[in-house]
Amino acid sequence: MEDAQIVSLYWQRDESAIGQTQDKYDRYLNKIAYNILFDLEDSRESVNDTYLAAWNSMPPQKPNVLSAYLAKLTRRISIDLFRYRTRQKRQGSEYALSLTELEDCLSGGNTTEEAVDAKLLADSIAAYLRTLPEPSRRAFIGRYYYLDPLKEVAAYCGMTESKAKSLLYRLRLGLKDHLIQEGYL
Amino acid sequence: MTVDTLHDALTLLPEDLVAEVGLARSRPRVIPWRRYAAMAACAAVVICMGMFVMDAFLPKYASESVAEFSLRSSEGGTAADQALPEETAAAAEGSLAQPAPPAAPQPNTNQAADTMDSPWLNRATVCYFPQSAGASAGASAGAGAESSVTRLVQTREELDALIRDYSSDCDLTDFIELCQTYDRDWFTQNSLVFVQLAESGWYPESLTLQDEVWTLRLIRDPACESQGQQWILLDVTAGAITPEDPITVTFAP
Repeated sequence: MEDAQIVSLYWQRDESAIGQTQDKYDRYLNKIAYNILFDLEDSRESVNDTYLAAWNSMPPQKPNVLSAYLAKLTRRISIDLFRYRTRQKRQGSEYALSLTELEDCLSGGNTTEEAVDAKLLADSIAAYLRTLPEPSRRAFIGRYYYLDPLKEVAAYCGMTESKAKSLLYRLRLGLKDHLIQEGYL
Repeated sequence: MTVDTLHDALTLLPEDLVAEVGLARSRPRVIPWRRYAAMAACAAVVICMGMFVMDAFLPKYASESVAEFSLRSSEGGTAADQALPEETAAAAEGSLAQPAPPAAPQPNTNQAADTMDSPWLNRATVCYFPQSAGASAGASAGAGAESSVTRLVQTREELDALIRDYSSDCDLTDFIELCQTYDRDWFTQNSLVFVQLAESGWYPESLTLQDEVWTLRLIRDPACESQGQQWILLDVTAGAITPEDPITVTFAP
């Protein structure tokens, strides 16, 4: 089924939308989640949360590229889960406990200001990425957005692993320069 | 700014950028050397199959025999008293003394069959009569040195007439001697085309007697500079080739 049809199912509040999404994107989303969490059960859970988030967000959202939209949801949910899991592992440490307790003094996160900052930073990174040639852009997004292993990035970018590694190093330096120029660093 | 901030920002990257890479990720991966390896493997299989088919179904090439025979010719002696390579000898005797069974007719316009590798040579009886170097040296002053001739030979009498015609210009002794060793009736039972090549020492690489349709490809021995005159007697009885067919003689290095 075409993406537009699936989105329209979501908009019609038709529950088969989730089934269709699952049929088409389950593997793709699981891969993204697994790259972040490195755990099959957690990634399964993360992908299920993605379907729920997609159900809850459409409408009002009407993504042009459903795969990218779902990837974004999965990534966000998986990173949140990863952070939660990491926090749980630090439970025994008094330092970690104090960090958790002190977080109460700070804002709860996801404030409008932080969201706007994150969006501005994202736009700045996107502007930098658009200046790059396609293979470099592909390598960067593959490695740092999809969090694919270096070997896979090299494979779908059509280069050797060592070349991909050095390319990514140069891209990171380039991004740093760009962020300094933009006043983020 | 922390790495978490950076990751949160990356999550918000525009969809078009993300989708573009998503497509590339989902495409089947092409590893360049594998493509070339696959092509090389296919080529190897095709070549092996071709060699197998040629080995299994086609007799050895006459050209190889000619090359070998030419070498022997250059070493001295006449063609008649030299032992032909086994296959050439068998082919020559089979074609002259015991006519080869007629082969399936082949259209003359079949351009694909105009190489040495084509099976037409096996369908028509081809006899090579290379002359010795010594004999050719004597004939080099003759008119035959600068031209090649084709003549249709239906009977032994016609062959004798042909020999008479050309023996004034060329030394056909070897050819005559060789013809005398074969059954006289065979010359009458078969239609033969006599092709006399010009002096092999200098005729052009590609000698087109008429338009190029049939190619007779002889492999010359590079070690033998002068191979003397050469004659080809083509049996056209089977209809694989006809007297009207143009013949191109090419020499592979």
